[in-house]
This record gives sequence, C-alpha cells and structure tokens, in this order.
Amino acid sequence: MRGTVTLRGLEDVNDMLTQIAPRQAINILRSTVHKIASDIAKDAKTDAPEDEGDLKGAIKAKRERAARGYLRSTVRINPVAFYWRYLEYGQGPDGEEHAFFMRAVESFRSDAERIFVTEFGKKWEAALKRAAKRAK
Amino acid sequence: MSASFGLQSAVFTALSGASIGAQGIYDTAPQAADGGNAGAFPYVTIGRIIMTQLDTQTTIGFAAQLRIHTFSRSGSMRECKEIQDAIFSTLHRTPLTITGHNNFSLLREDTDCFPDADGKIHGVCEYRALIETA
Repeated sequence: MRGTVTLRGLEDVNDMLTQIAPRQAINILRSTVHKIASDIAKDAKTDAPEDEGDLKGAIKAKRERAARGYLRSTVRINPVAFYWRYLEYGQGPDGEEHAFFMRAVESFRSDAERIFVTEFGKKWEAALKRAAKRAK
Repeated sequence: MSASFGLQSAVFTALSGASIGAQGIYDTAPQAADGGNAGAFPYVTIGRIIMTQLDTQTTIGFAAQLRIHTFSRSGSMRECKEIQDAIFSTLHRTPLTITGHNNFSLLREDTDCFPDADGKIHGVCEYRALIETA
C-alpha cells in the first residue's frame, strides 16, 4: 500500500522557526528547566510532613543565574522553615526520616529524559502557537 | 529476599566487617526511655532506601538511593568525617553481595556533616546502587 502525504505551509513553518528559534529557544529551555524544578518542589511539598509549621509554603523553585551556556533553577527553602533538615533526615520530633526531598528527586531522576522531552515539547508547542497567533 | 532488604543487609555486613571506628551499626538506633539516644557514640544507622524500578527488556532492575547516617558526640566534626571516610573506603565502587541479585554499581553521591540537637554531630552520606535480579 502506498500513501501520499502532502505538506502544505512548510514555508510558513520555516519562517516561524527561523523567527522563533534564535529568539526564544533559550527562553523555552529556561522555562523547561524551571518547570522541572517547580515539579520537584511540588512533589517535595506533597510528601513533606504537615503540621502547624511553615514547611510546605517555604519550599520554592527559583531561577538562578548560571554561567554562559548553562541554565539553572534550584529548589530552595525559606529560612523560616529552617527545621526542614531535621524532618528530612529523621531528627524531628517524630523521629521519622521523611526523606521528602530524596523521594522528589528520585521520582524525577528515574524518568528524567522523558520528563524533559515532554516538558520541552509542551513549551515549544505553546511558543509556536503564540507565534502563529502573532503572525495572523 | 527483597532487593531493598538484601541491600540493607549487605551494607550492614560490609560495614560490620570493616573497622570504620563506630561503636555500633544500627537499622534504628536504640532509644532511652526518655526518648534520648541509648546507643554508644559514635554510631552509624542505615537510613531510608528509595528503590526505583529500572528494568530492561530481559532483566528486572532497581536504582537504589541509600542514606547512611553517622552520629558523633566528640565535640568536633573530625570524628564524624573520619567515619564517613571509612564508610566511603568500604562501600564506594565496591559492589556488594546481595542474595538473589547482582549489585553492579555502588557510588557515593553526596556527603554532609552538620551540628544536630543535644550536641551531636550528624553526618549524612547518600549512595546510589544499581541492582538487577540474578
């Protein structure tokens, strides 16, 4: 069986990529990296023990400056929840090693490549849509 | 034997057989009636092990993230760090014998040492092991 596929509008796509890639590729990658850091922070928040304290609200992803050619986002904890370390490592009042950060990082690491490609794809599609909308 | 328990047992056996300078190696450190430490310092505990499935088409495998805690009450970081170094010499790049499994990689990824409550010095090392069913 033989099928024929006709692609129309390649010139438009080419124009769009030429327009988008140099200008936005770095931004898309930056937001992909930040999205992953945000997801790790979200997972850590979900697994963090809940009490009257400020731990859950103190876990945040933050964009960082990085050397040329690198992109970086970190997951930080506001000093108000200085006791995170005791809970993470098992020296808290309950004596349980909660390991909420270790679990969050491990869940990303086990599927890092797929998560990165998926997130990049989503950001890329969104950028294309925005560019297409502008081109109209 | 599960891979997780097998790994824990193998780490315990390896550390028990080496002179790392600790008074005891525990799963859970003994507690006094008032909730304080009953173990003689310095001691080592084997902490959380997070197992992640890492299969291939032909084998069942796991990536295991393992924490080893060191507790010292010597008043300085030195003792804690010396024990961490001894653990490093014993475990790093030394695949363990795990019943029913092959451990083909064991690497230390991270190490930290910080002051803890009650004048303790707490050291945390994280190791990553790759294991497959034999």
